[in-house]
Amino acid sequence: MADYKIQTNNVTKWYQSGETRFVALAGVTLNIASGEFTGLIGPSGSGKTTLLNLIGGLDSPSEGEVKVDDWELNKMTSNQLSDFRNDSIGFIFQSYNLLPVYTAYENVEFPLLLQRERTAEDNHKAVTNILKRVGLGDKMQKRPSALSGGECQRVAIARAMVKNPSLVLADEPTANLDSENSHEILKIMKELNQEFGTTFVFSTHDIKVKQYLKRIVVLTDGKVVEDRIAD
Amino acid sequence: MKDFKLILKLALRNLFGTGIRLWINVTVLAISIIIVIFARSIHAGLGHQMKDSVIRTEIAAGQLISKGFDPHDPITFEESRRKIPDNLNNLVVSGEVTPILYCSATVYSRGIVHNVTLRGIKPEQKVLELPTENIGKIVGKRPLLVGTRMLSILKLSKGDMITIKWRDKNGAFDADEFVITELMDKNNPRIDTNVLWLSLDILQNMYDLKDNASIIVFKNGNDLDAVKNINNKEWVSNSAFKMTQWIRDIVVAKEKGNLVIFAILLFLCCVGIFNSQILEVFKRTHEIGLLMAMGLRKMQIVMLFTFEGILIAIFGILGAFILGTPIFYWIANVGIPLEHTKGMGMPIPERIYPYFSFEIISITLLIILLLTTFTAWFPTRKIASMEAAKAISGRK
Repeated sequence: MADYKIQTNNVTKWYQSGETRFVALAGVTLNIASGEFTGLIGPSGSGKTTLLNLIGGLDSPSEGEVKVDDWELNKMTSNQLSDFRNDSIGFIFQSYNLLPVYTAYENVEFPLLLQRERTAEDNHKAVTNILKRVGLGDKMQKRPSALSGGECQRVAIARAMVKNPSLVLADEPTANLDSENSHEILKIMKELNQEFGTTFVFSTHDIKVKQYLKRIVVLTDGKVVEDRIAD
Repeated sequence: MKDFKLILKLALRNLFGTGIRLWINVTVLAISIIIVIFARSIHAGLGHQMKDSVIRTEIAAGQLISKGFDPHDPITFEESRRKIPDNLNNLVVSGEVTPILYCSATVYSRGIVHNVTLRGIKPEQKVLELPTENIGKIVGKRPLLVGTRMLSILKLSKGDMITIKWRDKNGAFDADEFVITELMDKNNPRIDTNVLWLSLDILQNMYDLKDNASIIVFKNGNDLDAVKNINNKEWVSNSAFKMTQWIRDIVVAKEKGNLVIFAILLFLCCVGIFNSQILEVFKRTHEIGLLMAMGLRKMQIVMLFTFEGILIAIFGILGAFILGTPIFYWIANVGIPLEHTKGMGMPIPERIYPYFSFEIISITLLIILLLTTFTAWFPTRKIASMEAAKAISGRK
């Protein structure tokens, strides 16, 4: 069990709204090994994003445990969770979530600024390399408003990867992109996965994503209904 | 310290990243600061000038007032005038004090009867800033010094004759013609409206009240302190501070009344900050969630947004300094005309010169800084305590 990158044990998450309790996840137990390229697939409201949020320490489970490497997220303080997210996790969001007043370069540099023991020179090198790697070497000084959707998502990927995290969580990364851009983005992520051994976990209901996945976990109504190695 | 530098760097980057919006906020804030300081300084300036005017023309360093005398109640004039204490003779002779005698009289001007107060003062006095030098020189008729307000009431001009009827200490009525030889235009209506000034000797002779006075005005506060207990059965000492209390009371009362206006001005002053902070912070809930996701600690997020607010305030203060200094300098020199207030019965100057005190400026800036800090800190603290997932989703 200790070899897994991510372990969720009977994780349940519900949201209370007045008298009504909405169950987003109902006893999910899932183990994901290091370096996997895993997709959480299911319709809207099936609990994909909730599960990603719990794995990323952005939310806490109502019941059950979430473990990433040796971090037991349930037992961590707010500051420890912040450090954990900064050190170990890269997030990619459906709507890119770039800081609008920052340039592409500054957006990618941001997570590095939070890491201590780094010099400005280290940061510059890392940011430049990763932006070139995702094909944005010539658009580093552009703001998100001057970039296309595909380019924004590449910046988001660069921001997630720049600190070389061991785990990247991507929530519907291709949902706002056209087919060509989706394939471009997925290719880049697949290459990064193979190049750096980074563990990728996606949530998606995009059929195009499936061909890139190593493992498919299907969620319905907050439960894992299928867990298989991709064809 | 490293945290501080990082947060300051991010705050500056966030602010400058907003471009023109930052400078609009800063300009609005700077203008509002200027308006608030200006309004408060005008108010303070008015109080200062009123006090200054009353001190120069009426009170000087303070007065000994004959017991029972009330300058606003002519009935007290007769019973309260007294012989000037002998121990003040030296001060009277040296010009360090000037005795003033108040008497009631009636004047006839253009067929209308007016009740007036005659005030007798030594022509050579230098205690009060009144043009009394020439009222001791009798050329034909006895001379009068009259203020412009009183001249307007009497509908007379300099050089005109006026009939005064009075009753001496024995109850005998007498009347004579006087000539208006001197005019004065002072802000203080208490020395002007319904008042005619003449030489103390002339007035004492008219009423057969040799060596009598109603009040004794002191040039120097130390002299007043030295004599205040000498004859306190007949003379009451009143310092300038005590005698100008009513002006401070008016200023305080007006300030209380103006608090609402200042509050509105301060609110306007903070609209820029409210906009960029309270509304902006709520609008930036999603961004705060993202910062959490990237590993910024809650305390760092609160610091970041609070710093942004403080920096806007600092830029606003700098802007106010740059824009306001030449404006304030100019207004402090030329003043603001207030001629329409002349008939209001208050010692209001024709031109107000704002009084920019350290207290007014520092308190205004401090309030703005505190408001800014609070408006930035409060909503951020609330949002930063949310789960990151909830903040990212933009839910509040």
